[in-house]
Amino acid sequence: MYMRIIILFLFVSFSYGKVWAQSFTVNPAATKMGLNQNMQVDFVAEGSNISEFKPPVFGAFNVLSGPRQSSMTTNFNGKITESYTFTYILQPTVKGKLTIGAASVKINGKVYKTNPVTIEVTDAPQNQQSGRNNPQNQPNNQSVNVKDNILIKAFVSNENPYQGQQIILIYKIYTAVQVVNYQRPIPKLDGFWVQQENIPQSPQGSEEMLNGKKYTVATIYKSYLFPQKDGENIIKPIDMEIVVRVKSKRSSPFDDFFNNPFFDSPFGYEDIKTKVTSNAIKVRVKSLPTNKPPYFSGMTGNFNFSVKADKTKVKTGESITLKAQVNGQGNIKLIEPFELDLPADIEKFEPTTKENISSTGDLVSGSKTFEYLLIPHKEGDYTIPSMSFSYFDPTKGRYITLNSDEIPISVALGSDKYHTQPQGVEQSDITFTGKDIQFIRLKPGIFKNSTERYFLTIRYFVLLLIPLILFVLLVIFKQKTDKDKQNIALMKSRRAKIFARKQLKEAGKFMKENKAEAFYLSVSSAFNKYICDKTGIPLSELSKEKIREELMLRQVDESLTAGLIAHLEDCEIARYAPSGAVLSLKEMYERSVELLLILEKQVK
Amino acid sequence: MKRIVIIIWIFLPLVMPAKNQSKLFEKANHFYQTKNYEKAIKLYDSIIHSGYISAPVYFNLGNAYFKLGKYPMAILHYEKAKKLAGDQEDIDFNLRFSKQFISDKIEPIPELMLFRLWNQMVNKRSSEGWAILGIIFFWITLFFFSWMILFRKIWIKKTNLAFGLLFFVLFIFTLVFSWKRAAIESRYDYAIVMTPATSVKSAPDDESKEIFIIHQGIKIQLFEKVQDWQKIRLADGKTGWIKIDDYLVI
Repeated sequence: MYMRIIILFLFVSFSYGKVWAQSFTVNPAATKMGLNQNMQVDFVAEGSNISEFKPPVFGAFNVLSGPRQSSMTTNFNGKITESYTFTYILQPTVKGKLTIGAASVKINGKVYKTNPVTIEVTDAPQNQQSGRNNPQNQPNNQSVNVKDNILIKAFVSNENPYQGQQIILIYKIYTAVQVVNYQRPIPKLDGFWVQQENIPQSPQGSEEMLNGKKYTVATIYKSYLFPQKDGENIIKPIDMEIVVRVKSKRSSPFDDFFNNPFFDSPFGYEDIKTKVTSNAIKVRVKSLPTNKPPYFSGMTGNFNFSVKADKTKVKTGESITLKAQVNGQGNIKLIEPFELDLPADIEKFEPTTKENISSTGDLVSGSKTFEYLLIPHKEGDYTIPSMSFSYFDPTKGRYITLNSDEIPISVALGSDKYHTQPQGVEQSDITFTGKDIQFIRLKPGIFKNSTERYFLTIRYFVLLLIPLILFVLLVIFKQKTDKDKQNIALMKSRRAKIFARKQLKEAGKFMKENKAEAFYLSVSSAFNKYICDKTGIPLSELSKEKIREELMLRQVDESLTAGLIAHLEDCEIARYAPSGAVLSLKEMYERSVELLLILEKQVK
Repeated sequence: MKRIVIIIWIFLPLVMPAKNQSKLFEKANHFYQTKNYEKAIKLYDSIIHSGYISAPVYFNLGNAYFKLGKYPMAILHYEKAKKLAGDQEDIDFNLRFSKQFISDKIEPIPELMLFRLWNQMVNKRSSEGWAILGIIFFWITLFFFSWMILFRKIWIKKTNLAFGLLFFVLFIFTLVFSWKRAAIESRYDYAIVMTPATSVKSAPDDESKEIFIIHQGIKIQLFEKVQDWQKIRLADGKTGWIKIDDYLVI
């Protein structure tokens, strides 16, 4: 105990000396010790925000207890410092210089490490260091003596089972001394499904001879194993710590007195903790034959199978309870619910499971019942199909398939329509059961570069610009053609005078030759063409009304227009009825020339 | 020659599937169909790692995770597919279906009817989809305007003008939708929680108080970051801080 006080003192003074410092140190209680002694080692971390303590490698030391944590907060001048102490109790396993490795801790985010410590372990106990005196501190010769008198043995009921076939694993303790306490064995059973039996802490013992020595024997562990893997499975040896009570042999003045067989007081005995190792066991697991039936349940053992319905005549909306029961010997816990293929009009709910397993004697047996709730929604005659249960019989060495009977069910129409929906269950929940997600897409779609952007890219603008440019071109083209058309009209109007004069000259020729009809024709055509060219009206659309309209638009005097129209009428009359001509050809010619001159002045 | 190259470049993204990636995709689908989901996931992932993404890849990846019972991962990838492609019937269905398998049920804050309709419309297509539709509308607009110019008859001009304006308005709408979708596609401020259960703190440090607990598969909105803490908001408006390694960004 004083060691602890020293450590505490050291630690306190240390922390007062360097209040703001952060440190991590290791404090072994001693640097020299005996082989069967225990030693306390403290790891002290101080600072603030201490976390992530990583224990060191203890090497040849056994850790008897720890890490035990204790913490302290120091308030010095208002500055708060935390300190954590991690305490281990260690026991050396060999003699010599043993090393405790470095431990590490995070203080305020920074990692601190201790220095490795070397401890010298000697044969004899070092008196000056034995700060603690507890039952574990025993001289060497005692434990050697104890080890001869205590044994742990493992047994299996069958070293060569089939996969899934149940076997039994037992640990027995053989002892010639008094056992005070023992650790419950926890064997590592990889590759087995384990069902453990409860054994009382102080089991009933019996006497047995082994190698000519008399032992008290007790079963301390029993479990039922179902091998899951075929091939060689090894049950590794287990280490157990056992505390036994032996007579004290310490040399002291009272030795003889306490060794007196008549004085059987507890003072003459001491409790010794010792480590005992069991034997390993090899289990060769035979794999099952390959001709597995289609509905193989994975069970190995011996089973019965039955399927029963509580009713076979129901009305729609009423429920039927279908019980599928398996009973027998084997790993019943692992039986899974049976697939039940029912017509769509019978609604099926997830089965409830009842298990009844007992493990009396050497075999695990019991029954498992699946209760299916069925609700028919339409009337008619239905059949619940046969269900199959297959298992492997290890005694016969072959697979056995049990089939249930088909169960006919007749459903009559229920009186109340509301009963066609099961009560208490929401409609939406039902519609989703048994549904699945939608299937994957089979076409990859358009792959995109995951870094590329797709909004207002150059490409987008180009695709918008193409039609825009085309449109603008169209507008320009349209405007140009319109202009050209205007130009033609302009040219025509400019040349109209020349054409008209030419035509009139021709008419003058006809006048001299006295060809009246040709004369009138050229006069009227000269005026018509002149008006057409000036106004842009096609010749075919020309009429007296049109002439009047167009000349009015061009602000020609009404009297002039009337004169022109009268003149054209005169021409026509004279052309078709030469006898009705009022004026002579010459007069007509002079008037025409005069009219054209006035027109040219007024029509722009 | 140069002109041909430019024309090919303009229309390239509409026709070019990455050939290598398509092959990987088919292989992955094959694995999926033979129920070899782990291998399918590896292949889909390799497509994404090669820098190419598409909604079907994310969708199928989500399905594969779903089949393995990894619902949070499935939800994450469905959301990614949705982010790329907008609302699509099968993605929405599978997303809703997967959400049944996560433990937190959150009632989102109800939105205004008009706002919801607008969002539904925006999410009908991807940004690119809207852009393409917009280009088509723009072409149609100019087509009508061209007819309007070319014809002399007044009533033909008027009807063409009306149709042209109608399509021009539609074009403007697609432009806005495309812009909205592009904003959705390029944001990385939503995430799915991956840690089975994580406590949401009131402040970004270990010592602060726990406000509530969220479980894997829940969608969260991300806000600012402080060191390795992230401010989050749930769909029902609750906010708090969680560690940045508790979620994966959509």
